[in-house]
Amino acid sequence: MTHAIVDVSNFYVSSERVFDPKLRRVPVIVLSNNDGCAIARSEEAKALHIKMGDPVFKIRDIIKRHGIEVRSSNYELYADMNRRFNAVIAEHSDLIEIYSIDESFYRLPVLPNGLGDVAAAHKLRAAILRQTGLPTRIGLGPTRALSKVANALAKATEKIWGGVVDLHDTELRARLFAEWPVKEVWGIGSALAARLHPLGIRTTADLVAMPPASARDVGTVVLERLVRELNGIECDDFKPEPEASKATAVTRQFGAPVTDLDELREAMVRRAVRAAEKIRRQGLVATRLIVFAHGSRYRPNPPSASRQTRMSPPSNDPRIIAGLAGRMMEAMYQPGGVYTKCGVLLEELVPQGAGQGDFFAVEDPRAPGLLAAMDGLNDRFGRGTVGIAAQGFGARGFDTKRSQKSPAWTTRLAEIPVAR
Amino acid sequence: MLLPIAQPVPLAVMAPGFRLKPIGVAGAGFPSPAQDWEEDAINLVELLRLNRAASFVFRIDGSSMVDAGIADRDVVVVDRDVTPRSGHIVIAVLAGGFVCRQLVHRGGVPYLEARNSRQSYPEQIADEQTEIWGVVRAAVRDYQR
Repeated sequence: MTHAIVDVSNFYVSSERVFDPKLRRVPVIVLSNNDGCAIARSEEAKALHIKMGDPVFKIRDIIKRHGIEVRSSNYELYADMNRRFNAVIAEHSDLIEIYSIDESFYRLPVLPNGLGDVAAAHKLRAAILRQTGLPTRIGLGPTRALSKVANALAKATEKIWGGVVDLHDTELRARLFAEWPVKEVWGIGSALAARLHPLGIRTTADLVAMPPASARDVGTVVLERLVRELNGIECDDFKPEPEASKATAVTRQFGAPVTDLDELREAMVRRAVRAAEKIRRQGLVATRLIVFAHGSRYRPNPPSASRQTRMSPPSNDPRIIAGLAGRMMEAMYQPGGVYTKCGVLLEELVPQGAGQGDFFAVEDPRAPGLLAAMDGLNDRFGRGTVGIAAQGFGARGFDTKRSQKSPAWTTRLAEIPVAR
Repeated sequence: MLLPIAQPVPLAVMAPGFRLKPIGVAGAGFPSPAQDWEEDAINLVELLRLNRAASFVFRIDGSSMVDAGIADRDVVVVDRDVTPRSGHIVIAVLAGGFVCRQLVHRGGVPYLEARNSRQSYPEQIADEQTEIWGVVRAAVRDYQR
């Protein structure tokens, strides 16, 4: 089978452009939570030297001077557009793996001549563009790692090759890899690139020529597998990213500073409920709960504290986790302190049912049904449809700031686009 | 004793849509003679083809298409996976905003025409620069509004 990966170019910006024609052909950036920094840039914005992660206050002049369009992140829209482009891929392939919000792997048969089906990939690209309005690039290869490099090359050569690159051909690989810096390869971070540099490994071709045993010495067994994969040998267990998360965090800056204990408790409970939901989705339960709250370090005497506790038995029940988090917030509250951020960490995650039971604990027999109903309602009617009362109701000053957010064009009837 | 209804039903396992269906009868009455003949409820999501990646929903503002049966405040279902042809009602991009018009080829020239005999609209040729965003497949009107 051919491994393939589709990625959407400048996904957040491209999603915004589908529903707001005014954003086409002008520089656009999308900001992170709380409108802090640029996390997505249109090609026009990249040309103005706006970097990934640039804080807004640093680029305010450029924004003004060039009339850059700025949007807050609209995750409702991005999630729906992600669902749509994956649905199109699923029409073209039975094997699809959603890798991130803007990338998905899929498989397709190898052609009789041993090459990847470039024509089919072009067809899929056209179908995604026609059906969803999203521009994509596709990389094909005999292994996952090669498809990922092909995808990066498809980006770099989009104007010439039309956004699809196939790396089944070993001669083409040799030619392209000789020019492709090793730090651009999937899974090679800057630290690893720096370690490879003194060994004379600068291009992807150098890495491909590396004996697997010495790859293991320099990096780890992961680097060894990467070298094999780049040579066209499939390693089933090859995954450069860490596997199932061992911890999860929900930490957010407040939209406006908070001094009131009730408000702080609500904010903490909301984060705890969200963290519990995140691990429930992965079928995990947490053993350790850590909460923290602090003020801005740019102000005098900022409050700062954290607390942690063990949960026995391990849990993903928001009533338990949020209850603990709320009480821990009360215990560490410093009256008069000006808080700007709080968060919840769930650690020592284990699969539900696999963890050690607690001999003395009595589990609530109705909890599984209740939690499934809660998650179902929130899935269907939007996050926050049902929660626990301690979360408080409605929008709060501490909610994430998204002052320049576009409407939820595709998921809320009151916000659908208007045609005259 | 707990009635079965006291057990929460996980909505996550239900197909999205508007399946309106009684889940059972409380009490110990005579069993329904129709129970083996039940079918799924009529699904408007399927009828309007809302479950497709290429289906989007727009709100109509104004009466430009009233003679074609599309009124102010109607909700229309727009399909991007259709090649627009002469006669299709389409959503197009004009002057940075969306309009709803009928695409009509006359003498080989494609026009975007409003359908409202009480008002005149400027003639609009759909040249290569004009983006046809999608084709209108259905309109939904709430008469209680």
